Amino acid sequence: MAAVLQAEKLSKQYHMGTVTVDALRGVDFHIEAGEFVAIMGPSGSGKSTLLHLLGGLDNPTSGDVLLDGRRYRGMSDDQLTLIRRRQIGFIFQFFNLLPTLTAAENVALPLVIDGKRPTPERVADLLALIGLGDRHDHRPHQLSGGQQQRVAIARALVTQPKIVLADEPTGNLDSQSGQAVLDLLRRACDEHDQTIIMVTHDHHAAATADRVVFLKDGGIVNTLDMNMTDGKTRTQTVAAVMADLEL
Amino acid sequence: MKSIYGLAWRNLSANRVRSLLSVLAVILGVSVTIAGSIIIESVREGVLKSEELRVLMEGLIGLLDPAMLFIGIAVMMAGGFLIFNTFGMAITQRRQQIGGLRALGMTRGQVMRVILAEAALLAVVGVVLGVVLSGVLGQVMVAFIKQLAGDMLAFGDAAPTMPVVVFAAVMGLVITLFSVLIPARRAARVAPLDALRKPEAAGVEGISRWKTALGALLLTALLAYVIAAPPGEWVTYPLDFTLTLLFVGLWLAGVSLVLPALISLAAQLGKRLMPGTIGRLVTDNVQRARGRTSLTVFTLAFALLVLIGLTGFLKFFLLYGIGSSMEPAEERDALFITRVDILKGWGATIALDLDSILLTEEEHQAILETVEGSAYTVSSYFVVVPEISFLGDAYFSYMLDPTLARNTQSMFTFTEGDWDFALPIMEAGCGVLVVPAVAARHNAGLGDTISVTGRDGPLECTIAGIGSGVAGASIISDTVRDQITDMNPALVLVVPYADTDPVTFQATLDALVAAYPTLHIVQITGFMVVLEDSLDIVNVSLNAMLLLATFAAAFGVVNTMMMSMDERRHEFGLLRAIGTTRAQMRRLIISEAALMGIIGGVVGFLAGIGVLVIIVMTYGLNSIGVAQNLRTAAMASAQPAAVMGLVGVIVAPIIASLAAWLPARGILREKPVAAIPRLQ
Ligand SMILES: Nc1ncnc2c1ncn2[C@@H]1O[C@H](COP(=O)(O)OP(=O)(O)OP(=O)(O)O)[C@@H](O)[C@H]1O
Ligand SMILES: [Mg+2]
Repeated sequence: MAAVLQAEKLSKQYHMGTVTVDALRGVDFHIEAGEFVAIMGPSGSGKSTLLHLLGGLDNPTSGDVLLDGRRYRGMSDDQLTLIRRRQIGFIFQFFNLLPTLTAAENVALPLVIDGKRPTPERVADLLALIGLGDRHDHRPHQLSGGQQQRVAIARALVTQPKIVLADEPTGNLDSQSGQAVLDLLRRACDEHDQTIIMVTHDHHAAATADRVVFLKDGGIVNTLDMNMTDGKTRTQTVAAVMADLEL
Repeated sequence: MKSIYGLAWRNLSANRVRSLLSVLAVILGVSVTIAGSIIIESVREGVLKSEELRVLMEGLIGLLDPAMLFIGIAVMMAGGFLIFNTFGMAITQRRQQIGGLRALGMTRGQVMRVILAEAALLAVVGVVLGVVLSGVLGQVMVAFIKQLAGDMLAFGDAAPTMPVVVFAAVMGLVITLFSVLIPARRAARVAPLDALRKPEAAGVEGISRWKTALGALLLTALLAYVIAAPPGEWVTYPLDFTLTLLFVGLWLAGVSLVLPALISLAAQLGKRLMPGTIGRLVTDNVQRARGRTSLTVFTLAFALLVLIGLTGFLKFFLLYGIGSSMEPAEERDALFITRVDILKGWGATIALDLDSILLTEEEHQAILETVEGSAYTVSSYFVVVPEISFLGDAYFSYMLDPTLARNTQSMFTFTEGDWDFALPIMEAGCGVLVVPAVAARHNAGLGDTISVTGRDGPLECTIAGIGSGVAGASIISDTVRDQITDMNPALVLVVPYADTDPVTFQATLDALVAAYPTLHIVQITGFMVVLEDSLDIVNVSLNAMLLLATFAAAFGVVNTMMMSMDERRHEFGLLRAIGTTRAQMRRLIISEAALMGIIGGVVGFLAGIGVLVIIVMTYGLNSIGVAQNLRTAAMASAQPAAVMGLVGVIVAPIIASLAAWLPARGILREKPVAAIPRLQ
């Protein structure tokens, strides 16, 4: 199968005065349609940066991102925006919801932006799916951190995007809600053929993916194919690799 | 960082935009207040350059005193409001940070001290710079008015006076601390955990029903009262001024009470009018972030209100006060002959000394002889008799031959008594024709005796009539001339007989002027034009001050907008990330600001007309003895003000949109990731 999303020699540098931070150093990466990839790595290893570049939220210092073989480089801002709007769903590490909108309105927002009329049923279904069916009219500040995160997931799925980019979607959740979110993403992948890239610190969460990519100091240092790993020992395998990295 | 005050310094330098805007607000607030007083002083200086001319000229300025004071207060309020706005907003933004500090174990007292230390530092810097800048600002404004005025009005050089500087500085400091203290106290009160939650931008603050009801009640009651029973019909100086201020204050309070409900109403209306995605987002934002919206809307509305109120009041005062007292003379084609070429503007007058203004005995006789047989004449002496002027020794009175004055049918309009009653009294001794305010002040009526200051001591004078004299001046009979003045008349009022041929009469006058080149013929109609022109110029100088007030208010809008754009950075980043195009963002931000602008414009327009009606109906014209139908006067004065207001309604959304768009542009130009928070 052809890669739906591909990174070529992706580098990102941040300049802070005289100091230059190499957040990514020539990352080559590709993901196929319907694949579920987890990205792991120590804090500051460049995971969020990679996700942002893959989503077209920022320009790389060098290298390229291709979606369905089309390069981001050279696209106009509007073209990139339309890609984000229709083909990509985002779940950010922080601040995912608009404070003035209710949970349901936040979920429906991407449709609204696209000039579509969101059907209340679809929104209600999604809210029920994430276990917040009764929080329809609550505002973000009336929700817990984990609940806010789940609303963000519903929002990322509402347009049925080809690709979902999730930055620590289970980071704020208890194990039960976390599992629900993972199941949700897994199902999106299995049943709707959506492509998932998920940054996580949780070994168990990573083990849900088809493939785990390990980042360190801005470079990919290891990849695990979960389908080749024995089901029972997946979590331990991931943990072992991570432990190695953090040495 | 050695102490908690180190934290204050860190905060200031870390939030440069906010600190800068706050300091700017203080600078502007303080300097605008001082510059306003410089303009007033310079008008006064120019007019009163020659001590002797005070008598003749101060009246004109005296009439404008209330207007000047109103504007001065308006400028000050705009300045103070700007400071209040900016700091209040900055603190609200920092709720979360305050929660964080509290969670870390800072006591309320410590938090308050840090915040107050910051505010004090900003206020001191702002006040110092504001005082320094005010001189420049004042001079620039004066130069600007001089340029406009040419010779029409004279302006003196004025420096800020110490009391004004001290007042402005104290005001700047007090308002800053006050406007920080209230929101900071509220922020320090909330439990640390609540403050740590998402900012209140969520707009949970409900509309208080009883506040809205109270406001609405206040507004209706006030308006109904002044329209049904205008206090302006009975109120006299100085209560007229106090009462007007009080009512204006109440009106403003009422407007601010109903504002939240109005905004919500307007947003709901807007929802119907602006269909589609953006419309929905816009109206939601405006409605839910009501705290933020209220500030902007109130600032805009306030600026417009001041503009409308003052334009209307000036029109009212000039047209109905001064203008109407000259109507009888105008109707009779009156003219006056004087040494001052008034048609060239007041500037010419100011340059002269008293001797060159007064008619010589020879000229006086020549005038009387020339027009004899074709016109009524009355020689007018300008005297200062504090007891009979409504402004005390700050205003002049006329000394006239009563019979001649009667013949002209132009000098006095009776509300009590008539010439038949007045003439015998005025011919027999000291008789006076006074404006109602004067009679009221002496608690005297027709035929009563009052004591006035003469050159050789007190003088008993009888009130021969009550009504309004030309330009609001009272009249004293010339039978007691020696006891009041030893000066010559300044002009001769000439009223042609009805059967006098205008062409031959004009030829006679031309011959007179040819023989005496120092004399000038001034038609009342022409004089009215000059008066209006010069009042226009005064108007311009008042408007220059208004401009300062408007400037301060507009800056307030820019300020709140900039802060709220900065505050909403993350929101914009998120919207961009999930697929909002730049064009959509632009529409969103601009229409949101425009909607606020429209609400502010409309509220300001309505509230401004209301304030004008209140001022006219409450202040009245009693102080210059002019009785007018105040309802008609209010309607007529509201018209030019309404035009101004309509301009404001159009301009307000433009200002608001620009103020929102400028900072937003920078945020949108960046890649969306720049606005996505990396840390909570
Ligand atoms: N805007 C920025 N300016 C400067 N440096 C940045 C910026 N964004 C990221 N960095 C740096 O780039 C590196 C990678 O950051 P990134 O956020 O991608 O890490 P991460 O792997 O997501 O970490 P975490 O697991 O803690 O979220 C870090 O060293 C970080 O300090
Ligand atoms: Mg990260």
